[in-house]
Formats: sequence, structure tokens, C-alpha cells
Amino acid sequence: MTPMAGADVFAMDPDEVRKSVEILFEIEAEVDAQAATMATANAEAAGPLKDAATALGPALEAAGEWWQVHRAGGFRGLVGNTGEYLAVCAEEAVEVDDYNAGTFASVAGDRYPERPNANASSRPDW
Amino acid sequence: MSELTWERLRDLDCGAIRTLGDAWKTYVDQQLAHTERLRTDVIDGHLGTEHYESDTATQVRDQIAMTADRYEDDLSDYASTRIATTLLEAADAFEKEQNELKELVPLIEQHDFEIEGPHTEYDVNLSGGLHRAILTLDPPQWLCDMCGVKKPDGFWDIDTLKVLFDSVDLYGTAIGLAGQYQDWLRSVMSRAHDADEEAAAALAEMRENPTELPPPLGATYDDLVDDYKDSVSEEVAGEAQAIAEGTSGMSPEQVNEWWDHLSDAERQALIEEHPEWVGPVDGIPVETRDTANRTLLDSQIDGLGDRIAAKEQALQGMDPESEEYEKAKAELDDLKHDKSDLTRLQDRITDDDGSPAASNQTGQDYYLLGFDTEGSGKAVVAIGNPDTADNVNTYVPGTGGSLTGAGGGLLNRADTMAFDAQRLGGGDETATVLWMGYDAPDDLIEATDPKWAEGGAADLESFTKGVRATAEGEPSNFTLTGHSYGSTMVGTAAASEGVEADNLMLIASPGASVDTASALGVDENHVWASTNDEDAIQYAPVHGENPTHEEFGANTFTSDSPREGSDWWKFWEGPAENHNSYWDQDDLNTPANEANDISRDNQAYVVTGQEERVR
Repeated sequence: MTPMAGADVFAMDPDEVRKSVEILFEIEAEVDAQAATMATANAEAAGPLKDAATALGPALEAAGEWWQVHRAGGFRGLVGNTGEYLAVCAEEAVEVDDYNAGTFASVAGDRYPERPNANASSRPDW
Repeated sequence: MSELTWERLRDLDCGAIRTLGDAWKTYVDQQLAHTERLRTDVIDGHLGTEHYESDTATQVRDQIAMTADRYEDDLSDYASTRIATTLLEAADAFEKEQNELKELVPLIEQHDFEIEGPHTEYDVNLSGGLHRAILTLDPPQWLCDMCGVKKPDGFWDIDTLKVLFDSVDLYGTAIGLAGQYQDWLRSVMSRAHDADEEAAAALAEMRENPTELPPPLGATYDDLVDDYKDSVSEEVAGEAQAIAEGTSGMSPEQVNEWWDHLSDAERQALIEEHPEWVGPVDGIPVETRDTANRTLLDSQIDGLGDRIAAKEQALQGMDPESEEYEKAKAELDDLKHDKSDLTRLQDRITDDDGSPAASNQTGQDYYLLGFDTEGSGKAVVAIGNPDTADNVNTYVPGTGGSLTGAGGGLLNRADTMAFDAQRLGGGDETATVLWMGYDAPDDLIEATDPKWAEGGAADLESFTKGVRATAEGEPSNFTLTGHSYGSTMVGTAAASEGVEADNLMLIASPGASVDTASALGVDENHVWASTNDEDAIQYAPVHGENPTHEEFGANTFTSDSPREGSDWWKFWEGPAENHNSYWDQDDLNTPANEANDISRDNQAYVVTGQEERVR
């Protein structure tokens, strides 16, 4: 393992950490896509139930959206956040409390050019 | 609020709802692969300690594990238990009522009736054509057959005159039949609306108080993650409280899934620290509820003892002539009454050494599934374990039922039913439950009011669903037996909320809230009624058609009337006494296991699935 600058923070094998990052970003993307598929199926089924004036129809539609945005979306966001943090770690030592999305944007350019979150200036913690 | 109409219910694609429920279950499995990958490929793989080591590294691994834990709980609690199970339960419930409509609506149309009124309370009336047909002395063949008259052939002959003279009867018969279909339709829609609203509530409540997510890595993470860990430690208690207080919107099946998902440590902590959130809850296994309820029972008896002592001490300092004293004395009497009832129940279900007692009639253990001293008091006690039994018979008592009776005569009666099921059950295990789970009317005047049954309907529905949810292995053959007003309770719950039962037995019934067995949501071939010849209740069908009458459409069985008045001139005593004679041992000289008490035998045959032996 390579001692990083500020070696009291941690030591690591950067390649292994980057492999973790790739897995985290893959999971993030898959969870996002699968939640969208599920939400679409949910909304399609909720439609006829709403047309039938059931109480279930609107509740189902709201539940599907809530799941996609807040729970699957919450998980996806946390996985992505951890991936971004580790991507930074693979380049430079940073404590958890000192990390923000801007740090990732500064290291993401070459290595993760396709990642939308590399453009971190649009994020609230920039 | 559900505004489902009968036409929309008829046309609803229940298969699509079920398919979506299955899709959510599949989705959950798919997502669990992601958390599995986080643990194996990241935490224990590329990000293992051999590649990434320090306090910070440990913190990051913990964060990933927390994120995976959270998502797994979310998938179980929300995506599976809430969304998928709600959809699957709703699909089953809608489909069941849809099948009722498929049977009912053609009957309504064939008889030239019309469905009118708002979806909240449909009427089934005679159509204009049917009115005209009767008025013009040309009634349809089915009506002539029902009234026993020959359909006129268009000429003014004797048959036409008969129809003219019988027109009142023809109208009455047609209106009566329309009324039965109306009861049936209203019951179908009541249960469908109930299922719809319960499903919507389960989904809405899910979003009301969601659990927190772990904080993202970044500024103030250390503080935020401590807060998160605190919230996780309180999460299960919060869920349990909401379930017990009825604010979670979860069905017993969903409660059961939630309970199964808890760790052993979480379950044990709830049982020990909050038995009040475990004991009364439908959907939690019977053994666990019994343990929690016995703890609660001990605790309440002790608490009442303390309150009685404090109240007695307070009384000593009061003026015995004062209003304050009178009030305190009344409160003291109530406390003593409650303590006496609970102690009696405890003595009945507990051995001298403090361990759970067994019925002296069957040797089966008693299980305490709930109790309450509020009002007349409630208690639910099982003889034998419903979770493992082949048959479950739930006895719902009627007027005068109370906590006092639950520790005495009512439980004796349930013991007799258990004995009969064991005696005639051919080796099958039958659990018999005394469900004194509603505030029963205190007297015959109160018993003319349906509000007692309406007040208990949702609880009885929940209880039956709980029995189904916690059953181990194959579902039991489940019978609901209502006696007297208890049959009104059973009928009301079955018609308005829906009950998960295979058989309904309406004994000495003043009416089951509807005029036809078809409205009860249980195959009418499995609805049974019996009233003995001497029972006065047959003259008081105040809650709908007498279920033993042919028009009601239930199966009937014979019950004897063994009791007599104390003197020949006390003509009223026999009819009153025989209202409660259905579990008598008629011939006390015959050993109980050789007795031939026809009503008891018939009940046992229904309960143990031997309907062909019913006489």
C-alpha cells in the first residue's frame, strides 16, 4: 500500500480503491435505471386504478415516485457520494469531514469524463 | 377515499395489479444484489483492510455498510412489505369481490332489477318493466314460480285472477329478492371500499414518517452520523409503537413480514421493554403474543394493586359524607373489579407454579392474545395454538360478554367447544379461540343496536387476517362461531369489512346484519345457522333475516333444546334458558366423551371439516 500525503490519514492501494469507485458508480447507475423502470411500470399500473376512482391509484402513484426519488434515489446518492469521495482519495488524502463535491470535480476531469457529477459546480455542496 | 363503483370494480384488471406486486418483489431481489456486491466486492474486496487501512478507511467502510443496511431495510419495509404486499393483498381482495359481482350482477339483470343510487349505498330496485309486468298481470315466470302461481297465458281465466289476487305477494316477493341482492351488492362494495382504503392508507402512511438516511460524506459528517445512529437505535421501537397504536396503516400480513425481518435481538428487546406493543398486535406469532401479554397481565395486576392501596389510603382522609369520597369510592370499586377480573383470568390460564396452564378438558395450552379493562372489558384467549393447528374455531360471544366472563363462563364454553373438536376431530389438532374482543351490549335493549357490532367489525377482520398471517404451514380450516349477538358481530364484520374465514356458524342469531348468506363474503355453502325450537331469539330477528330461514340461504343444523322452566307455569323460562343451551351436556349420566349432544356434535363437525356428518 502507498502511504499518502498526510500519511497519518491513511494508507492504500490506489488501483484497488479505483476499482471500488468503478463498482460504486456502476451500482449507482444501475440503481438509477432500475428505479426509473420500476417507477414507469408503477405509474402505468396506477393509471387505470386512478381512472377507476380507487383510493389506491393516487396512493400507488405517489408511493412509486416517493420510492424512486427518496429511497432508491437516496441510496443511489449515497453510493455516488462515497464513490466520488474514494475517487478523490485515490488521488490525494482527504478526511471525510473535509470532503466536498468540488474536490471531486477537481480530480474527475480525466478519469471520469462521462460522469455527470464531475460537473459538481451545480451541486449544493459545491 | 374510495369512489370505486360496481362497474369499475367489475372491469378492474386485478391481474395487472398482481403483476405489478410481483414486479416489485422481483425488483427487491434485483436490488439486494447491489447491496450484496457492496459487501463482497467493495467492503471485503477492493476496499478491504489489505488495500485501504486507517481510521478514515474504517469510517468509509462503515458508511458503505450503513448505506447497504439502510437500503436493505428500505427494500424490506417499503418496497416489499408496503408496496408489493399491499398490491398483492389488494389484487386478491378486489378479485374476490369481483367474482361476487360476476355472480350477482347477472342475477340482478336476469330478474329485471336495476342498480341505482350512489356508490356509497346502492339500491337494487324493480325495473319499470318488471313493475309493468306485475301490474298488467303478466309477471315473469321466475316470480310465478317463487309465488307458486301459474303464469297467465293472456286470457282472463282462473290463472289471471290468481295473479290478480296474489299481486301483493308477487310484489312482496320481488321486493324481497331485490332487497337480498341489494344487501349482497352493498356488502361487496363495502368490502371492496374497505380493501381499497386500507391499501391506500398503507402506502400513504409509509411516506408520512420515513426513516432517516445515513448522511453523505462531507462537512459535519461526524456529527450527522452520530445522530443517524441514534435514530436507527430508536427506529424499531417507533415502528412497533405505530403498529400497536394503529397508525402504521399496515395489515396483519405486513406486520408479520415486518416482524420476521427484525433481528432476534430487536424482537427480544421489544418483548421485554415494550410488551404493550407486542401482545395485542395481529400479525405477530401467537407464542410471542402470549409471552408479552402474560408480562402485561402481571404488570397490570400489580399496578392495580398499588393504585387500590393508594386509593384506600386517600379515602381514610376524606369525609365519608362528601361527594369527593363517593367519587373516590366508586373509582376504588372499579379498580377492585378490574383487578378481580384480571386475577381471575390469570388464575385460569396460569398454573400454580406460574407457568402457562393447560385446559383441563383437552390438555391444550392456553394462549393469551389480548385483554383490556376498558368498558366491559375484552379478552382474547386461545385453547391450543392457532398458528400450528389444523383447524381454528373462533367463538364470538354475545350480549353480556365481558372480561369477567372471559375468565369464567365464556372460557368454559370455549373449553367445551375445544373438547368437542378434539373428541370428534379424528386426530386433527383444533385451536379454539374465545374472541371477546369487542364491547358487547350489556342487555337486550342495547342488543337491538347494531353499533356494538359495527364498532368491533374492523378488529374482528384484523384478528382473522392475523390468524392467516401467522399460520405455520398450510392454512387452517378456520371457523368463526357467533352466538346470539356474537353472530351479529360475525355477520357485520363479514359483510362490511370481510373476514378471512372458511366457515361461519351463526348460532341462536337475532340476525347477521344482512338478509342473505351470499352477502357475507364467504361461500354460502360454508355458512351455517342453527337455532333450537325453544329458543326465544327466533322471534326477534332485529338484525336482518333469521339465518335459519330458507330465504337466508345458509345451511342449517339441528340443535336440541334440553332446558325446561322451573315450574310448568313459568312458560317464559324455557325459551330464555334454551337460548344458552347449545353447549349443554344433555345427559349428565353419560360420560362426556360418549355424549350425543346434537348441537355440539354438529358444531364440531363443521369446525373439523366433516360437514357431511352434520345432521
